[in-house]
Amino acid sequence: MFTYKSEAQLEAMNAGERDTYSAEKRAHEAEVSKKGIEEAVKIAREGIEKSFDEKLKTANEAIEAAKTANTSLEEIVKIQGEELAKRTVSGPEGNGLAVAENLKTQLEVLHKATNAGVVSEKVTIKVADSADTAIAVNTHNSIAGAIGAVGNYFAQLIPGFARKPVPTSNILDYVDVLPLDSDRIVSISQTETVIILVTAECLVKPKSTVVWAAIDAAAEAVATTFKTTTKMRRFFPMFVKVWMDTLKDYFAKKIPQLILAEIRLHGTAFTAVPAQLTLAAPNKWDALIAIIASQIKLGYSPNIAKMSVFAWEDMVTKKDTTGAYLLQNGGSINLLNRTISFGTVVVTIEPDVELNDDEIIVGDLMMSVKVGLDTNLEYMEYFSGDDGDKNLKSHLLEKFIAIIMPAATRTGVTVDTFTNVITAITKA
Amino acid sequence: MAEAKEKKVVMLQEIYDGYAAKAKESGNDTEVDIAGKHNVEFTEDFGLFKKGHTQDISKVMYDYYKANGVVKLSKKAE
Repeated sequence: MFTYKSEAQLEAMNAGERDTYSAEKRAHEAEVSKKGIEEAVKIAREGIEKSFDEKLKTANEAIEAAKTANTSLEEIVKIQGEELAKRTVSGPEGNGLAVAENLKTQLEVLHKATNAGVVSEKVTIKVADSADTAIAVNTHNSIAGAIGAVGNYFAQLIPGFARKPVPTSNILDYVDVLPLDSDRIVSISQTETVIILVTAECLVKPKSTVVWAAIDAAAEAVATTFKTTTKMRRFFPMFVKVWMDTLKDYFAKKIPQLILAEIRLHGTAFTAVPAQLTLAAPNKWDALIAIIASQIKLGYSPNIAKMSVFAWEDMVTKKDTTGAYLLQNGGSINLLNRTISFGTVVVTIEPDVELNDDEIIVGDLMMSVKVGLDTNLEYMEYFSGDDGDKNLKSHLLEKFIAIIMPAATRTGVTVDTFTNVITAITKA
Repeated sequence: MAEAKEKKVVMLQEIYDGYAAKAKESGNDTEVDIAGKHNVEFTEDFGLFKKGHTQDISKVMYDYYKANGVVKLSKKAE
């Protein structure tokens, strides 16, 4: 074992001993230094290993946690995808189709109401909801990677909206339409014919009475309302416009219906006259002529005959025994030119979609039916009830109309069925 | 078989003949309403009409169908 010498001991050594001591001292110090380094390295390595293990453990735990989290995320995405798929209208068309589907439903409601002749119909559009759904649909398309949405950008949109035309009557062409400037229209009749006299010789004489009677009809409102959301007005103004255009059809449908209702109420039923011709197997042409003959005999001059579409169909397709069409009888009835010549009276004949299947109306409607029609189409926007809280606004379209059939001319309009007239002129 | 229903059909002209006979008897023309409407229901098939059919008809037509015994006034008759 090497031990360090004091100064006195070194002084006492000779040169050989001093060299030996120096060599031993260097060897000893080298040994001590080596052991110190090895110890320090050992400690350092242990520290590093311990720290690494801890960090590795932490990292592994983090990876495991991340794996779990990723699984949850996948589950969420999957559920969202399924939910969105359920809300997809059908296919990748996105918001346009969603809104169109919504409009389709609303238009069906309106169409039904229009056909039913409902005076005022309230319909609410929830386009806002549809737009929200539409955005989700697009998101879904992106997730799924559907190319349909991309393809849609290259599609060509046909301008406007396709919708079924509303069948309407053209009765306004044949009645006397006046601008309505007051809240009612009044008609004064000088004479009134409600009875005929049958003489002992079996001749008929219309009996007219001087009445100077005034009858009036109040201006009635024909109105329709609909509601829009703020979102619809802000982002889909074109649909508001389309909606209003659609509602104009309502007036085109409703006003002729009201006029025809007045004609049915105040027109008279077919009155056969003495010696009215009877036939073995009369058809609708014969019935038409019989009504005209009866009216002329009673002193009127009919100029229009409107009949149901199916009656017209029946007349157009009548055939003789050889199968040839009987479109006219050689001149006086000219179905193709829509006229019947009866002496000096020429009657225009035409089908009308608003007439009942067997119905016929004959008379001088220009003389007998006065229609006061408001030249304005009133438009109003308002909040009803708690509409404001619901972001809804009401829109009202309103028009005034007054219809009158003067007492003096009511008996000049015949409203009846082909069946009744044909039965009356059938020879037993 | 054919002899079963030989029911005579009253013709429209006979209705007017009735009005004329009445005028001859009374010395005054017979008044016939042409404005009023009669809502009738057919009680049996007649002409092109089927039993149960209802509609508004004139006084003359009402007298005609009544003479043939095929209608009755329905409840909303005027």
